[in-house]
Amino acid sequence: MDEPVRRRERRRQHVEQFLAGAGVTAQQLARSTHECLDQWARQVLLVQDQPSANWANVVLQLCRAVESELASTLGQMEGLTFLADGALGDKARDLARLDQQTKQKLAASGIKVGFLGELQRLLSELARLRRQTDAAHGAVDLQTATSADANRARQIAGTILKRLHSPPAKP
Amino acid sequence: MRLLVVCAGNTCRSPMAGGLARKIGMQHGIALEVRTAGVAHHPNRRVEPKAVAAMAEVGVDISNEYSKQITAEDIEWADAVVAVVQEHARYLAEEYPAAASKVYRLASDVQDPYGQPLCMYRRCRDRLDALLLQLPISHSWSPGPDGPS
Repeated sequence: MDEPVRRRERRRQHVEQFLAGAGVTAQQLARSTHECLDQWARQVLLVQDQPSANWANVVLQLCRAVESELASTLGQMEGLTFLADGALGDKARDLARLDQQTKQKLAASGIKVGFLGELQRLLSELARLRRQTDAAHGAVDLQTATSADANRARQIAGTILKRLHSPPAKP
Repeated sequence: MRLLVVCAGNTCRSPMAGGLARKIGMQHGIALEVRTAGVAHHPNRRVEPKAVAAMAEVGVDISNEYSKQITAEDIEWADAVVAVVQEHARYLAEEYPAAASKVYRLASDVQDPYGQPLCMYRRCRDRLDALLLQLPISHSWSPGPDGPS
């Protein structure tokens, strides 16, 4: 096996391990999410066992994976299309502002309203980890992140992916 | 000759190795330009004070260096790219395939001293120095015993 193939295989295994821990199968995820997770694994392999490394790109790639999956799932639903675009913090804010009528409509279509509250909290925390500065979104520079930040982002991303793909509640 | 030294955060090992390479270049009369960078840098952060202290002990000042992210321009600029970590050498060769032939790893991995006491920085400095000396830095760069990554 040549080196690029070996490295690709290592990344695939890393992603598979993450998804298994989250209780999600690779087949459930959008292609764009797979690409983000591959980039995430690439960044992890670069910085693991390197105490001086900045883990910001690891956090960033996980955020992108979550954004991608949100866009291809809930973001396709009427009333939640704001989840298909924009910053994580804005998505969390808009989730918190959902009116009662929209919530009722979503509940009628099988969305757990309790999940939307949880999603709002998780996205807020993920946005905080990403340190949503103008610099980060302008792709100029990221702030410094630690491996603990990256681990927390991993937990949050895993929870979100799992919730997105768990069976909907009966209306 | 243009030498680019790369590590993880560009706060300890690569600035130290870069400083040592400059010193070796001066001692051997080699016209050497050196840049250092990281694959996961810390914006606006200076080089670790313990790295600065360890280098000051051997007469090399790296106190004015800041952590920088490696760029395509750095890769293009360099005649040789030396990665302190094997994984990083592989990454660079994959990320910049056109430059793969000039990417080398210094040796087996040099442990990251970040967060360790000063004695570990000294140990790292001495190891880097020994590894750099093994590399025949001359008018035509040819890699050490490990060859291209």
